[in-house]
Amino acid sequence: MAESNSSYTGTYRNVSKAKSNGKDSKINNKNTDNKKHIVAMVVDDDIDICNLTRMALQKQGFDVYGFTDPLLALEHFRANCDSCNIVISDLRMPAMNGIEFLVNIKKVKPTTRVLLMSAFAIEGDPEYARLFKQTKINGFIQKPVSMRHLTQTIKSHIKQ
Amino acid sequence: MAKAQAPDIFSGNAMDIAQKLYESEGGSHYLVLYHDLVTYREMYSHYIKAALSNNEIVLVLPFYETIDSVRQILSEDSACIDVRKREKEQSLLIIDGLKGYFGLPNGLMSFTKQLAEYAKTSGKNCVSIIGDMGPFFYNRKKDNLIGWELELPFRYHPCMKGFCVYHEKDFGKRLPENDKELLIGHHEQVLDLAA
Repeated sequence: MAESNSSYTGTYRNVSKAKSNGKDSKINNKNTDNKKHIVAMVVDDDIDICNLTRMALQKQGFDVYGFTDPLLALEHFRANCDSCNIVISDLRMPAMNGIEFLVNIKKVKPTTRVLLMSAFAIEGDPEYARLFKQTKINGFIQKPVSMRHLTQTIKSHIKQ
Repeated sequence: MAKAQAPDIFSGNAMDIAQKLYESEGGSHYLVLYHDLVTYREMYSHYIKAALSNNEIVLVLPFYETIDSVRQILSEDSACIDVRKREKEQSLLIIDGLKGYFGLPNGLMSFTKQLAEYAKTSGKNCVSIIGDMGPFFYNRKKDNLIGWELELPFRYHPCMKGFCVYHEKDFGKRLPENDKELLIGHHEQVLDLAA
């Protein structure tokens, strides 16, 4: 399995495409009629976790873009920031750690909700403590996380 | 001190690189580049299984995965190591890289010296250290990385092998060219673990 070739792990439904397609557009409109439609970006260097999270959120009706490379994810976000409501990022990633990544996301679009996710304990982590306040990270998710809890957390942040 | 002569660069798959590490002499100090976690896991599973069978002590310092993840990988089919038993008898030590490089009371160097002493007294052949260098990039210690690496000897004591492991995205994208050259020149061999 070549992670380097799978940096972008796909999306369930491309929003711009859905708008121009009658069938998909109806689905999309149904979603937006009842509740705010959520477009999320998930970034995790572990391709299995990235795919699992993406697929679980897609089942909840979110549009999800999954990336294993934070640099490519940032590039994608710069081009599509208007359509993305929330960004969920892993903490420890090569090339750019999750905090650096979310700092950059906030620079592109300060109103984007950003959540950090990690399997590591963050208490006593000097890098996290240093950057947390200035980064204005909206929340932290401790892995392993149930998909129910993840979905609820995302929804609660979108409502805010 | 770094040797002026550029080392060999060997590219191979997980089995090739694991074999290369296993065949290395005591005292070896190699730089290993990996491109993805899946292949890296495969490689260290093969290597650690072989090293433990060869009566070695193995110290693993992961960074982009938890120590529980490493335990699970080593317990699975390809390696099938009794991790609990190996940890209990202290032939396998798994320490989070952030703690290992920056959080041990007397530092990692002192800890590895103690391990080498323990290996001698307990009849072990050697100590292998597989350290992901990711913490230096995460913890704003990138400037310390070169100092750390250059303080390590070009060759270790014969009862120790050291493998400095870099994710290609850290090594390739976060280090300036002159630092890369310094690091490459300070290792006997560079092993490129193909994805």
